[in-house]
Amino acid sequence: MNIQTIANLSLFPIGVVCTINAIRAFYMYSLSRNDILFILGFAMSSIAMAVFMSNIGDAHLVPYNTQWARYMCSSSGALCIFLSSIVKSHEQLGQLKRGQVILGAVAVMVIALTPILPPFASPLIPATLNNIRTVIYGAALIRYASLYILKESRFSLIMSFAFLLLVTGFILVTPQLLHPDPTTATLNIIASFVRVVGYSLLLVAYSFG
Amino acid sequence: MHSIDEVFSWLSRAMVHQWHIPLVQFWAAQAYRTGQTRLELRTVASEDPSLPAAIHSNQQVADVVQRLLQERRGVSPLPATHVFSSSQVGALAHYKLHYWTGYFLKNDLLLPPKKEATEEKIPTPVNMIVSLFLQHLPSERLGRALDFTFRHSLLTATSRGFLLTSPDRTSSDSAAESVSQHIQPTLSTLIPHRSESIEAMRAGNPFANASILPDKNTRRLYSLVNGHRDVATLARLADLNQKETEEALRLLLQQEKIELHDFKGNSIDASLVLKVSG
Repeated sequence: MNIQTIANLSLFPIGVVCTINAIRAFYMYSLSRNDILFILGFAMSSIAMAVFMSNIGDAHLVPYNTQWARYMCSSSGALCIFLSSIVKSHEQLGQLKRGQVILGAVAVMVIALTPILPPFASPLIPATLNNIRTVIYGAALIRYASLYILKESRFSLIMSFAFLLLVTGFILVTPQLLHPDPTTATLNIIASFVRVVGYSLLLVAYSFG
Repeated sequence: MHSIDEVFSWLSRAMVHQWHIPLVQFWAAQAYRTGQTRLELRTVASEDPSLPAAIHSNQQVADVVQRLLQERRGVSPLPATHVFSSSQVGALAHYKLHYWTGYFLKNDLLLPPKKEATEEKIPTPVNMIVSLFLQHLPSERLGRALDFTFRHSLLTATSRGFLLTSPDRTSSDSAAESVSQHIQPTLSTLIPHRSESIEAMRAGNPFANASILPDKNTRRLYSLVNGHRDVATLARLADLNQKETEEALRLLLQQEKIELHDFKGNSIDASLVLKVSG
């Protein structure tokens, strides 16, 4: 097990905490019927699933390319968090909730298809998927930063920092995705730890924000 | 115009021609010297001259109107399938009449019998349903326009002496009530809207902002609130009886999770229809 794999596996506890938060969000939703909690529960489940799929791949527990599912889940989770921060009415919130169910079905399909999904034919593919993910997280960063400027809430501040770190982590990993090279491994490890801190902050925001 | 029936007739024609409401009926309670009260169709106007009267002025429609008059309430625009039997719906659908709504008009002024009426009929307190058959769900703007029109028509009719004053009431009392009471908000026709601030939800921690609804019925009802369904529909979908529905609404109002609107979108003071403690 190399340092890179260890760095990636360090995300595992984040996945566990995301799962706990997802369960908590769904439980709270069942008691309050607050749609934002449903959306959060889904987003946390997606991020947890992304982490676990990544871990499964990195630990070589299965001989498949789990990165498709990882990018899909990671992106859809952040997309939902971002969209829930820009809705303007309860009606839009309801539409987002329904859209999430479709997104969830697609994510499940991608996970289920993992055994037959091909390995990446070119480094451009993971780099592009990573960039798409970065754009989504970047949009969330801008949104929460603007919410912080408007409302100055602790929650939006912590969320802004969380997304900033996550975006930084994703950007740092891009060179390694494009040109896998042992000399850039250090950058990759730093990127992994930045992401761990980013996800941790995300969870701090939802726990104490 | 020389009589209230001419006012109703003019109004119904105007609604058909100006607002393209395909079919308008004015139904009223008519009292008799014998003490009986029966339902009477005062006027009807149709956009489609080929529409047979039997399609709309029949016992089934009369039964629905009668029930609303007894319950002293109107009903928000609904698909005809929610109101009438399948045979009636089929007949209406043939003329593209897919929706129906009933406005409840009430005050204590007396509606004189029709001109050609027998002497058995006596002036009766205004207790009416304006029945509208529609092709599409009407906009809120139309609802507001109708409300304004009915309000002012009744006032004008009163000032012209087309409605009679009850001997035991002063005309000023009645005129005042004609403004405040002519459309009574009743619980089942009101539309709950979620009132939690979206702004606060977006900027805050959802876990911190979530308020628990301790009662299962309340949660079931709340999850169905979408700003379009009226209380009657919500109760039916949630499978709640009237008492359970009222209790659930009261809890939601107390927790400021919802506010009540009439179908025109006007906010309604919940205390008018429910006892809500502060």
